[in-house]
Amino acid sequence: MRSSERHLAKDSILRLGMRLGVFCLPLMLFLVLLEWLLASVPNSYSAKRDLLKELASEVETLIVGSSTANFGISPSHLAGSVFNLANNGETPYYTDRLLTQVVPELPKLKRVIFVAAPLTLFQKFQNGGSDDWLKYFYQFEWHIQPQRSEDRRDLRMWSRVALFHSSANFSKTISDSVQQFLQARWTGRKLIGIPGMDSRGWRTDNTESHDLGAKAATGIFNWYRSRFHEENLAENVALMEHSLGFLRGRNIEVVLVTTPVWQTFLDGMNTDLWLREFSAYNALSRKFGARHLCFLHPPPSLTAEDFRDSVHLNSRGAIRFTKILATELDRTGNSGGIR
Amino acid sequence: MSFLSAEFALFVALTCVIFHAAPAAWRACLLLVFSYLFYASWSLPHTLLLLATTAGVHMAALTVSRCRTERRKFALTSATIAALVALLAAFKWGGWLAGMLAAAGSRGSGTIAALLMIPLGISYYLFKTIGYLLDVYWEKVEAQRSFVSTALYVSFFPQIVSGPIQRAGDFFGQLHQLQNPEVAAASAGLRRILLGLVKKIVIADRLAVLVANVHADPAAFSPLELLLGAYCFALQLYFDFSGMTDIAIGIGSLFGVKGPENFNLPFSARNIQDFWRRWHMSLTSWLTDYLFIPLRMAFRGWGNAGLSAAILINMLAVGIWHGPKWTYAVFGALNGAFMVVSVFTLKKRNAFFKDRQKWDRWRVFFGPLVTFHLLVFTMIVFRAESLQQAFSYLSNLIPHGGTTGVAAWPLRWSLLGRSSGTLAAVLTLAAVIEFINWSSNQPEWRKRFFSLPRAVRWGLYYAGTILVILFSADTLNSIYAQF
Repeated sequence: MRSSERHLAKDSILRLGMRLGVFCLPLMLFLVLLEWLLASVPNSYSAKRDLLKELASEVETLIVGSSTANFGISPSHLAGSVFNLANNGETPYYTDRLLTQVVPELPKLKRVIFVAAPLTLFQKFQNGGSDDWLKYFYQFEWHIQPQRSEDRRDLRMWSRVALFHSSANFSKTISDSVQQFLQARWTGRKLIGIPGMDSRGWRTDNTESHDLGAKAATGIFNWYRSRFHEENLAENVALMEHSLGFLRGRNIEVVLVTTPVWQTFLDGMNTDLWLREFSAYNALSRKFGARHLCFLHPPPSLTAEDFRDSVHLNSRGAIRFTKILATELDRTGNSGGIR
Repeated sequence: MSFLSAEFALFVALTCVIFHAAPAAWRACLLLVFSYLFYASWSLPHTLLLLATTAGVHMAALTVSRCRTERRKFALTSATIAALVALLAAFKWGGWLAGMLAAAGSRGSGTIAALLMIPLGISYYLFKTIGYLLDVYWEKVEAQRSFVSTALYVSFFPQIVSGPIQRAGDFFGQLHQLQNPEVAAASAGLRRILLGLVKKIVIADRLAVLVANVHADPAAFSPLELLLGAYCFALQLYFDFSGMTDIAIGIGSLFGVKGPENFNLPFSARNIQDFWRRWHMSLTSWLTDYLFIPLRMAFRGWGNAGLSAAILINMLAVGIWHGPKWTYAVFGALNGAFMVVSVFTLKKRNAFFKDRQKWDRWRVFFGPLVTFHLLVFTMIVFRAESLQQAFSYLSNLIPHGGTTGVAAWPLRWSLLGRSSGTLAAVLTLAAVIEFINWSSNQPEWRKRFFSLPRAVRWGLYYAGTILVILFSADTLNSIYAQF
């Protein structure tokens, strides 16, 4: 081929490349728009952050932990001004970082309820785990860096589109966000909080009851097993020691609460594992003078209709359980020890 | 690096830029390097296996082409092909055998299974090498002196994951185009990639959820739901595989390599033979040339029995090419049986309809319909995890015939995992895509499309791209990448 022909071919390919670039420009704009939209629509993390900020001057009790805390304790049914800061799948690492960040901003804080659920101390976001992507919300909304340094190089650290893209229902997230955004624009309402969350950070829309049978409990158990690992125990205990020490240093009372699970979950639990975790919770409570209120075996007043699934309470169950917890908190006072 | 990942898109973009910026003489080498980098991103040991296989075949082909005696030529070709088939069998069926040994409690079976992890695309590249060697033996193709050419043919990254299986002569004949790829072909390649992504991500992966649900527990579904699941699987398989083929062909075009077509509106086939001329064409034509025709020649003295045997063996090979599972073998055997019946009744059917012109009009409609249902039936077996599961699925398809107590007609969308609206939208899009497939081969429709204002055409491209972005979050691996 003559060199002039080669130049011609190269020019044409270049032109095609430029046309492709022009084609991609609106797509880039679309992605930027999506990025902005996703950043402007509240999620559970930003909603709790904003709601807590509004109540910062009055909050006396803070509830922290994972889904068992998020769903299982209703702040309005405890005495004083209470806020539920828990989020699904939250690991001790994030609880610790959240506490060190928010506690100095809460002048009236007297008590922190730490939900000490089964397997919490074995929990860490695992690479490739089904809820692994949740960790990036802490980066976006609270500026908490992921625990593992390799996660800090992930694109999801910087882009909400990439983050939501790794969730199961990306297209639905987008359409819901657009809907919320347009509704807010239409009504002139400021976007704060999310549907189904009350002003105290508690999920009120958790009304359904799922299958509590042995098969469903095994399914939940297997899922837990895939993401909870024994080797995380020492690290998580150290993190909790840090949190509890930090709170004690500020004269804030700590109460460890183990929320109830349904019998089928109890039957399927690895007893040795739970006993190790239970003794770790007890050791922590002794060391830091905290109370550990363990309701793992559900109180008789809780029935199957109070459970969302074999490990989580639904709204009705959460209200009933919170009343029991309130009584127990009053009864045991500031005495420390284990229920 | 999955074909459907953002990393792969970046890889293709980078390869493309470097390829076109490089001096023409370097391009084959560059493409080879990128092909090996792509393959190495999956597994380094398997990359070494690919390299060793290619080197062996390259040397064997050169030696065969230089052999003076027919006997030596035949012996060397046979020995190399036997080694390649043994390699394929070891990886495809070795793991299965190790699994059987493990089930029987044999020591070391775990190690064997780990060693025999199936290398990515092994069926595709070994078929390419076998075909190349046979073509050299039959003197249809000259043995390549350049190792780069042979290695690029075997490892060409757009084709290595799920084909198509390009013939050596066709590929080598296009190598000169690497120096001057056609811009129009590259532009068409980009459109083809988009079409493939829509097929795979928007259509096939939407259907996959429904299909997985009904196949997981057929006894829990009504016959109507199972029938819907069976239809959806046929469509899922088609849009998944043809989508991947479109992506492969499209990427090839960016480098000036036109890959062979794999599908030609297969569900419009009038009979089973016609279907297999339109479905996975690169495999079926490969098997026709290198297995069916030699078998037909060998059995020619046996009359109809010989033809039947050649068809059955060929279709069985199509089935077990997918892997060591009884379901695949039965899938092949069933298709073979249908084809034998179809071949031997074709003349009589034609004569019957020739005398009845009125009925012949209906045949145009009913032929594809019957063919489609026969294929849906065999695809149930193909999709099932075991023959037992296939039997369970088929028996529950018959109202009150199976173990299920579910009434015949309910369509419970929540159980199926897709809403009726989603399914309707996906099926509408599938019909539109099939129309695009058909019209892209019709000059007048192509002309009509390209005479549309650019804004309209680009609007369509944007719509496709946005659909792909929105739905790519829960994309699944291609069904055919596992073979």
